Amino acid sequence: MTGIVFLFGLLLGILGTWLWNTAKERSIKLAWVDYLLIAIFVLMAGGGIWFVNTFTEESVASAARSSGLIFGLLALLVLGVTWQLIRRRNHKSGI
Amino acid sequence: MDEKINRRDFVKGAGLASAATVATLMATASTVSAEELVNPGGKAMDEMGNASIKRDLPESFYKRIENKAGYIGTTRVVAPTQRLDAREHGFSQIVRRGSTGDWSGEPGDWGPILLAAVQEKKKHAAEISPLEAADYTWSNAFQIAMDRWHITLEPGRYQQAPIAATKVELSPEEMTARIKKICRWFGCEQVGICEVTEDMKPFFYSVGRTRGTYTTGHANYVDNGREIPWPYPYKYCIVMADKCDTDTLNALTGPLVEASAKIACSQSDFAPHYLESIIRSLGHDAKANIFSDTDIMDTPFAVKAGLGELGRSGLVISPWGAQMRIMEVFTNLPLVPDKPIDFGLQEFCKVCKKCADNCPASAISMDDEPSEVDTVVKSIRWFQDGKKCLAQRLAYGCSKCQGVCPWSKPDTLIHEVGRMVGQNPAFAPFLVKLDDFFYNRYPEGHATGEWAPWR
Repeated sequence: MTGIVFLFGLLLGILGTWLWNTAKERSIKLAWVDYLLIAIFVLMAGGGIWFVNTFTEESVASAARSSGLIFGLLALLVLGVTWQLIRRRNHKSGI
Repeated sequence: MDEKINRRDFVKGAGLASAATVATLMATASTVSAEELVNPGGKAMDEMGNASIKRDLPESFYKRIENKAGYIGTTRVVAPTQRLDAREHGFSQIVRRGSTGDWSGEPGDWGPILLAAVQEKKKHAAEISPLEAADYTWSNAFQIAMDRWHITLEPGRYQQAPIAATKVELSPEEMTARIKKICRWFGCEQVGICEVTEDMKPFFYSVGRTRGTYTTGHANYVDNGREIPWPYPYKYCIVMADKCDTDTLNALTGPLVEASAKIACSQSDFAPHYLESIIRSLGHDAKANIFSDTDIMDTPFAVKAGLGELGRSGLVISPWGAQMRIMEVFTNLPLVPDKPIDFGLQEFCKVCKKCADNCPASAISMDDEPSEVDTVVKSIRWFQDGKKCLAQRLAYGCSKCQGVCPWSKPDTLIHEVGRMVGQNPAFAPFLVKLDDFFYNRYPEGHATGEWAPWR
């Protein structure tokens, strides 16, 4: 589990840094709600990995699948909503 | 080159080729590679010394309750009845009936019930595949291995350590702490102290057994019994519990469960004798209460020692679940008794019913509320038909009520959250739904082919 948490943190760090730099380069503005949604996405993705890992260790494949599906879909949904919100807001402001 | 192959050579060649193919296939099927031979893999069981749970229950999991008259932990005792003769217990009946071939009795008595179970087992054995039959051959070997412990340790055969002339004197608090730490050190994951008081009298057998549990039967079986005195000569009962191997007990039925339970049952002879010798070597009297030489029904002692509560299934359910192997040592060592615990199990069992739903023998009550049940005491609990249960286990091997219990989960953070949620009666139905969703209401057991070390 420790290894997975480390890898998740590493990927999150790389992805976060890249997104932050990209947003700055393109002058994309983020509102507080975007930060909140991104935090929820991170929680969902992290929770998904945590649940899948726990159930895999218990050899309960159906529970691992279900939790992966639920957390994965929720994370994707939140990511999609966040993406659209940022895109529309910045599109309106002409950026 | 225009050599013609005549019919005779063709048939001969085809025959030789077929024989070679069959021989290769057989050799492949019955041998292992050189690498597998040296290191075949496999894993250690989560049995004694292989800790699978935290050594101390986090206090957020339970509350300690005072011992009060008319209660053993959270279970209300209405009235005591007659103390039971241990020779009437199901395990003893299996040995006696199997040894003597006496299956007599009224319908509903042990004789006809056990005979039906034995016949069911034979019928089942005739119907299963050769591979499954081989699994039972292996699990039967584990049973014989367990039996050897149980007959070697039958009353009067074990050579107790002498009580040392010089006593190690410590305050009860200090002695309790050291004894508990020692028990955990040699592999028991939970330890509690129960004081032997008058209210525990009904849970002592009036007569104990004198023959060890030899499942396949003793020649010339006679058990004259041994009187168990009251007042009992020991003041405290040290109750130890160890979580059994979840992976293999989660096979839920069949030979893998059988083998796993037999290992746990054998190992539970070790810790009590070990602790008995330690205490006697410190100059204090002690007596191991082992499977073949037991004076008590251990569930109430485990409850009173604070290891868990009595659940719907009739098992001690600890916050770590129902897969606990319970072991005891009686002693006069100065100790501090523990208080029973309450982690909301009584309310949880009312809404869960998963053990009852999954019981293949329908031996567990489906009632919403517990009611007055007359066993060795009249108490307010859910009825569990011990005869149906034992017959099922004898015929097929079963650990379903232990395995499907939502509390029987590994010690991981997710389940710690679940444990804290589940002890609140308001959230208990939610936790049951969640457990049903992730683990299924009727879970399938772990496959023998995947988990049995002999496959």
